[in-house]
Amino acid sequence: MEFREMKRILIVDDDPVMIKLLDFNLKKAGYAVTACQDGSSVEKMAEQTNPDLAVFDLILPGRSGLKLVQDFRKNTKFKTLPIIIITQKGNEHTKENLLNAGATCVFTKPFSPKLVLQTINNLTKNNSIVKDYS
Amino acid sequence: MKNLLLNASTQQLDAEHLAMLASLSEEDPKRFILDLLNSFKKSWAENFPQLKTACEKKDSASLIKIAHLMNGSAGNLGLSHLSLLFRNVEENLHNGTFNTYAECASAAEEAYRTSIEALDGYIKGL
Repeated sequence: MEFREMKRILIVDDDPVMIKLLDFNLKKAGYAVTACQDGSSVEKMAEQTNPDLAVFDLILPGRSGLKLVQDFRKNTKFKTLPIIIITQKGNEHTKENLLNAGATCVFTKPFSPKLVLQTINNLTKNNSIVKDYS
Repeated sequence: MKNLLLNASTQQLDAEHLAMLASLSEEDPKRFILDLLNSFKKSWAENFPQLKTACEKKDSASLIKIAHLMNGSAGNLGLSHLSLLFRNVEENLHNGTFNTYAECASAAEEAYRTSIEALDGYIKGL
């Protein structure tokens, strides 16, 4: 029997409904999920859990998703970590800023959880599309 | 300014979104949506007193944060009426036309009550 280590996903969102929705979908697909609702203590959690991918909300208490991406990209440990941003502010300018800061991709609400899962599957399986954002 | 007192005919639930949520848990969609609803109720219980205080103090910075959170959270659960109310609050605050602090909490409370009633009915029908 082939043994594969579970991929770890870190979710940061202040909406417990969103966390539950992603958590359910990801665990069903075989991921290990860690979640927190506040942007201020994310690095500590990421250091402890060593995620394979992170999903951030854009507007968070403590620190914005944009600032989180910027701070993660400054940290050598998370330079290549795929980061998905989920936002209600779907204008082109916001998306451009997020992608320039190093976000891997941006989803605008309402989004399809199945499409997010498919993207996560691709990003965690295919290392060739993970860029160095430094 | 967008009106907070939404027309009674405004659709309470986003049927398409709820069908999508139900499809995520083929085994037990009823339980899954109930779980999401319980999370939402808990979040509401934590945030509504803060919303009331923000309205009483005319604290637009706090109100905008709560309205943003509730807009997204209600939308994620398919509560379209409630989500629209908070979207209007958020937009009115952003563009400086919000002047309904006195009515905001009671309008939100009423929209919450009718939305939960509608969702309870939907869940029973699953």
